[in-house]
Amino acid sequence: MTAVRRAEDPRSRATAEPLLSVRDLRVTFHRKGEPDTVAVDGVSFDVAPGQVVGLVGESGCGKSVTSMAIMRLLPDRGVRVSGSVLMDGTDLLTLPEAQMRERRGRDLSMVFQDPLTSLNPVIPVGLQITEVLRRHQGMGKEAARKAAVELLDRVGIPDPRRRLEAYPHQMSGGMRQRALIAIALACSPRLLIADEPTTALDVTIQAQILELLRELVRETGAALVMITHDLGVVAGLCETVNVLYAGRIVERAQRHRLFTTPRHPYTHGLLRSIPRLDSPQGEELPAIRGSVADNVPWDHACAFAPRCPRSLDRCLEITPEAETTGGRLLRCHNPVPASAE
Amino acid sequence: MTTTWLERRRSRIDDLAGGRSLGAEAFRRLCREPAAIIGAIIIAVFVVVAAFAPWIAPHSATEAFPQLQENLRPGSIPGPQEGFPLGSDQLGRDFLSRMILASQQTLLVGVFATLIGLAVGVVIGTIAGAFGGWVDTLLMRITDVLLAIPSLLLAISVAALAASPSQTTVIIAVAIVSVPIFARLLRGSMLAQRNSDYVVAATALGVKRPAVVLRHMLPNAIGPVIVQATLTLATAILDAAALSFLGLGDADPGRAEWGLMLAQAQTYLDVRPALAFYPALAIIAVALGFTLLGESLREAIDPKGRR
Amino acid sequence: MAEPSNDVLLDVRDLAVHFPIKRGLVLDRTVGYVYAVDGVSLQIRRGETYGLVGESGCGKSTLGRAILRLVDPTAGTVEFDGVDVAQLSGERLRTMRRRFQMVFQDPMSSLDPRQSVESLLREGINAHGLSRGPEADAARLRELVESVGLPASALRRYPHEFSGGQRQRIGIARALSVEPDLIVADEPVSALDVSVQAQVLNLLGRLQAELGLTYLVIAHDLAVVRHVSDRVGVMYLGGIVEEAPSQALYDDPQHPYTKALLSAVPVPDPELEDQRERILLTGDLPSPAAPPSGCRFHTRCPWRQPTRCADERPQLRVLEGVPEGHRVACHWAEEIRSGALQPHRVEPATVADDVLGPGAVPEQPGSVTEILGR
Repeated sequence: MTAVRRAEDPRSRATAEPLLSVRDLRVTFHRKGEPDTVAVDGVSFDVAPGQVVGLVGESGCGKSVTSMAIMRLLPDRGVRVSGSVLMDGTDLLTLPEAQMRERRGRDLSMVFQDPLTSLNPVIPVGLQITEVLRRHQGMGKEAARKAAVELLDRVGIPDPRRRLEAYPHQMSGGMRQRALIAIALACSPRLLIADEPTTALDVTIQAQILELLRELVRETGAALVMITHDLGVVAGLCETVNVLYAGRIVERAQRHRLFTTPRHPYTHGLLRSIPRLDSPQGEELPAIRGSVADNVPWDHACAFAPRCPRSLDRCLEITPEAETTGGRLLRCHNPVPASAE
Repeated sequence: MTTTWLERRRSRIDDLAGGRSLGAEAFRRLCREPAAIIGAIIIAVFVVVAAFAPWIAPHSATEAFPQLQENLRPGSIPGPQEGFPLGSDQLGRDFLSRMILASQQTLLVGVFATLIGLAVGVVIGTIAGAFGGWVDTLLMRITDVLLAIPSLLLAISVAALAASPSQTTVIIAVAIVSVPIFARLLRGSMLAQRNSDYVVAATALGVKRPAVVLRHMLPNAIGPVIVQATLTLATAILDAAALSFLGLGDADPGRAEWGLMLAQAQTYLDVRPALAFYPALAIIAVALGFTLLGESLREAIDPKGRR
Repeated sequence: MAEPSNDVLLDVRDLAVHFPIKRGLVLDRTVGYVYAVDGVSLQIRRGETYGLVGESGCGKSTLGRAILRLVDPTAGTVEFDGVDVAQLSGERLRTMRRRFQMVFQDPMSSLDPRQSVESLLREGINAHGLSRGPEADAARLRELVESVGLPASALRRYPHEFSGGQRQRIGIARALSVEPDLIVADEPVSALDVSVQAQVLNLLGRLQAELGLTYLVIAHDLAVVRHVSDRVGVMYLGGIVEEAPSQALYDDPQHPYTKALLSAVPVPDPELEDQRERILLTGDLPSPAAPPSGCRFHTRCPWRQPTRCADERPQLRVLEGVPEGHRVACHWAEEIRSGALQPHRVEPATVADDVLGPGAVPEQPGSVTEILGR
């Protein structure tokens, strides 16, 4: 890295200002001739410096859109974004584009899901890294090249000097993802958002990449927002986990507690329905009935109610509010009792 | 309680839905598109006029009227007057009737040329796409050669080969020009289909090969071809008009056909520009109508972001 | 799970599928081969579920398709109930197809968007002359959709009107429509939402019990495979490296690759995740177009030894003291198991990985799909 930051002292983290503060983020998509789609429906969460936060949910829950909204990467037309995203006291959502461009790459950056489509196929990888370095740190060509070689080496790409000239299609999926991570971390941003970074990768490669992310985050002291649908990934990586459903956070807890005592029926059901390497074999998995399409709008009910085994009448009439007790956020009228597990 | 809610909602949806095929949904989308509606109206007007031309036209295309002829002078052609809304043409015939009757010719030529081109192109494309290998290579090289020649030049060459030029020659020439376009388009679609899971699934199921090609591959590949057909109709009309203009169509100068009328009107541009203006406008309008419809059709069949 | 019989339904021996790599402007010359499946033998007994697991490029999907004759095997035999399917062609092959069917991975592309569900289900019935008259057929169709958990009204709808999980059910119904003996499920749940995966897995289990089906389940998700299978085969770069009853595989993995694979799977249990010892493989999968010599895994194996590993390709064998049915293809399996050999660090190979060198044979790591540009 061009500037290796010391890892944040964990004790000071708890009381420090949050690095990122998302409040009531709402994203609505508008397409001609169709009703508006609310992709993100009032999401609020904080990220402390150096913390690893998870955003977990299935397709359509709004996790990717949330990350795009934070980075201001959503298109201007047909999209309405409201709420606030505070970083260093500035609301990123209201910044003029030129100022946001300054921050992207330098203060916050993103690692995307599919490295093949996220890397420019006609530009050598090295150039894509040096571009970032020269843009934000004003480095000269030679210095940037040297730094790029160091970066590629740090992310575990063998023979980094030669790889600078390589094109993305000449690399494997795992290597491309490492290159993407190198680009994202080139300027040592304080916040890294990783949107399904390992979903397209094989299991053994995924393990390597996750390990790499773990190390880099520890080393640079950057905060990481990990977006994924894979609860296993989250269990090993994230300190705090937010579970999203239909555009809202339905449960938030510290990871050990979330997995040992999931209280929201969705989290609870999801954990029980996943086949695990250590679960009894051959029995039917308790499945959540219906599918993600079977939901009702949040504004007058609980979106999960149609599928919920614990639903009450009020779940279809009154929107459950998010309540925070003892470090856990829960949005449910009839949560799983704390002593159940 | 929510179980019944879920079930009630499901059964309500079931009752409503009769099962809408993709074609039906595309049609609905099409009906909402202003460009499609405008295009459809233009085409409808054109088709109606062409179909009922003999009844709509007040007079015949060839009859010369003494009232008009007596006013013909070098440097002056009678304009709109009583009984002749568009006035006279250069030989004293009713211009309006000629315009209306000419639409029949244009429609015939355009439609036939496109249909023949479509039929031949689809057959070639299907064979190339379904068989692959050397059959495909051979057929595609031939179409490549045809595609390399600019369409109008090709049409002119084919038409010029005919011993005696006629409308049939024009139709065949324009058809030949469009064959490679359809063939290539369909072959491309078919190749893309070959490896689709549902085609493999049909084979796995034990469906016979011809049935797989005709029931699965072809219907899914034909969409872009239909769109292309509407656009080709537009160019076919233009090409046919051009061929007539150049004298490669039916030699009879008295024939009412917009391209021919446009050609003949060249000499009278300073005397009575309307003689050129109206046929040109008609050609453009019809071509525009088909183009609008074709483009909207393309949007409706494959709008971005739909399943 | 019902006890599978001892009678072998599918017997695959030395199956190989090599895809030629063609380059050239006018005439396609064969410049190399992708050794997608390179010598696989396995047996599946009637009524059992065999799980095939591995990462991309290992050839498991190709193996499944080769068994169903959706790709042509280059060598080897595929005996289905005594008949060598690899040798069949034409009408004989077509009629034989009725007995083994496939469930595809992608619910979006595995159903013809222009066909209604009813038409889709009828097709197989008609293709094999199983029609018993309009009323009986209508009843059969209703029975089919209901058996996969969909209402009868689904018959008149079109695929795009259903969700991913529902489409996968329709795909299963289609496979069942011809009353097969064997179903090959190629990644049946990997394209589905997590909350729906359990539903489909349960459905498959139920159908097997009801209809006495035999399954070959191909997946990259170890937990899924373990849950549904009686026996599991682990594939790496075109060959099976370990095969065992599913519980035994997870309790006592003997092949280094299996160990690495198991340790790499994320488990939704923070305690476990924090404590477990990860065996991280270095480098990427070698290209199936240029597989390493000897043991295919030796370039990344943490237990690689200087002798034998790079020269001889190990055969599947049963170790001493291990129950029959647990086979492993590793020269040093006994020593690894006893702890006599310890894992060591592996340097990622730089020799065989010529990124920028010109060459007709593409050396990019990747799956068959990536290399052949499909």
